Amino acid sequence: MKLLALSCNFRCTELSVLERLSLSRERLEALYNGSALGVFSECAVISTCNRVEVYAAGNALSEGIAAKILSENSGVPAEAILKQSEVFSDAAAVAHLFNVAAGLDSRMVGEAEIFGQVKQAYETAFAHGKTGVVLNRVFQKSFQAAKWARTHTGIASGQISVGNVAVELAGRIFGEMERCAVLVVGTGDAGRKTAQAFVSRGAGNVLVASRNFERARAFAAEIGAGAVELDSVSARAIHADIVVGCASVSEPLLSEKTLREILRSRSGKPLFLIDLGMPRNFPSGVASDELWIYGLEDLASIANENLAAREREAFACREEFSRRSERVFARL
Amino acid sequence: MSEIFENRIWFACAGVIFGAACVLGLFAAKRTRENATARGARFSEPILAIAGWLFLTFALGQRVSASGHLPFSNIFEIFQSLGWCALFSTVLLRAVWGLRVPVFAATGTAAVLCALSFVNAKTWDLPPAFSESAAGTPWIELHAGFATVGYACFSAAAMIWWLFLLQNSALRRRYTHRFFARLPDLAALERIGGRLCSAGLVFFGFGIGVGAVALSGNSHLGSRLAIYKILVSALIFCGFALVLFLRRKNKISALKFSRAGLAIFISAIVLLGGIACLREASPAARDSDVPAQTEDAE
Repeated sequence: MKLLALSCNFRCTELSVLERLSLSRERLEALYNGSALGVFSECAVISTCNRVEVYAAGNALSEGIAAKILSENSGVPAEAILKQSEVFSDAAAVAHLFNVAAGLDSRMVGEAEIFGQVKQAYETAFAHGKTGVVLNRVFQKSFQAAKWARTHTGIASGQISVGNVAVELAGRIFGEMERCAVLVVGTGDAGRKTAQAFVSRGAGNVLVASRNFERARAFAAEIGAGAVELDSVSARAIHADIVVGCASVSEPLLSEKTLREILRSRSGKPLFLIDLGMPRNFPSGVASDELWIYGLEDLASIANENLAAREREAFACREEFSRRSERVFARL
Repeated sequence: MSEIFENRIWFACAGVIFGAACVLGLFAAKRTRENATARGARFSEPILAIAGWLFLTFALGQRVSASGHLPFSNIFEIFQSLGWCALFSTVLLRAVWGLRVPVFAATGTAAVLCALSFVNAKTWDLPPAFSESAAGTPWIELHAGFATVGYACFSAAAMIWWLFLLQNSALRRRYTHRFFARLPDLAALERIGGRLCSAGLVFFGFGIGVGAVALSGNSHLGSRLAIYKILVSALIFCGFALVLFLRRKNKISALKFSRAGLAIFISAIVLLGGIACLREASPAARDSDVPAQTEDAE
């Protein structure tokens, strides 16, 4: 019994091609219900925003057939698909699936979402009777491998996005987010992601301020926050625990004098300023035991360090998966 | 009974086990990769902590059953009791305030206190001398008990303050290793450190009051040892009370509060050892009617 994996992913496939190859739920259903996949003894298709992959088991396997099936569904020529894809066979195909399920092959190494997507893809194929002994075993082993990687290695440890790094740091200062008041100044991309990260971690009271109040209100409504005028930032900062500055400003949102007054008014409570603005949104000349200021370069540096750590863990993981895949394939 | 005070093997075993648990815990906490070694360390740490605590409980229990008194009769026993309390307090802190103190912090604190007790064990670990005047008086043990519980609160607070300083320093230096992510947050450490300090002041203050009552009925009130003890107790009490007051009024930051609290606690430990040395240096005090429990528990 042979195993084949044809992978069109963000690394080797142009985005425009990947978009065309991508299979919606309806198209996937149609594919499984059709006869095209009958050429394989067993088959499963994974389709996410970053990859479209075909896993097949049987005695007569060819990547050309898999490419042709994808071509018929997408209109992309089969030759183009083969040029922009990776092909794995036998134990290497098993190893590739392990890597994908564990998030080692993702844009953000160690991301967890792909595990659910692989599981969903397997369950869909299983429900349509397209999997058999081989793929059932291989996919089950991939789930075990992914769980092992998450619990026994550091591939999922440390945050790798600026917003999540900020939330993690806030957690080390304040503990539970439910009791924290967060003030986000600016509705740019970085500010949005950071605000969303705080909301998703349960921040109790989130306010959004922007030069354009309507934009602030619209964004606040999206994430279940409140909107305030930009002029009220100084007054609001007295009661906020965390202030995220991501506004495009020519001078800091708070002057040194204002910041010192705010600290005096806060009765010794810590204040965490996250400065994502360029130029800086907060002054750098104020030092206080109760003041924590992390700038974009600090957060990015932490995120990069964590990503590098994950990459190192991923390297060790891939070696382990390579060994496991040999054993799994040998027993098929 | 003097044999009991020479047989410290169980205490030594407990101290060594605490030290091993602390080292294993630190090793496991720093690991990012969960291989067999890290798993083993993580698994062994709580087992060793419990084993050390049981050894120490047994040793203290032996003392109690042999001497008939609570294990606060000399500096050696007080340090050992504080070590016992340090570990026990982590369970209480979790149960009462939901604070997860890392096991390595508790075992480290216990190991240090147990080790300190052995610094001058031959001098510090002496049988208590009881006079007829103290026989049947509950004040002495009451004083010793409350004072020791006060010290136990302060030692638990010291552990919390040390964790606060560690976390604070890591955040200032931008350290984000998952070791630091596992430590409690600054807000919780600050809050509970303050509460433990307050509790310590209550118990310690009550112990001082009872001790003062016991000393006032004693002819050695004016002795050098008694004066030293009163001064030391007053200094410790006032020191903690002052920093707590300043923190409550926001006159000092949480960082300065932790540093000051930790410094006062370390000074208190040093002064505690000084009491025993003073007693040892003063033959009159050694032969005096004043029970050793009064002297040492402060």
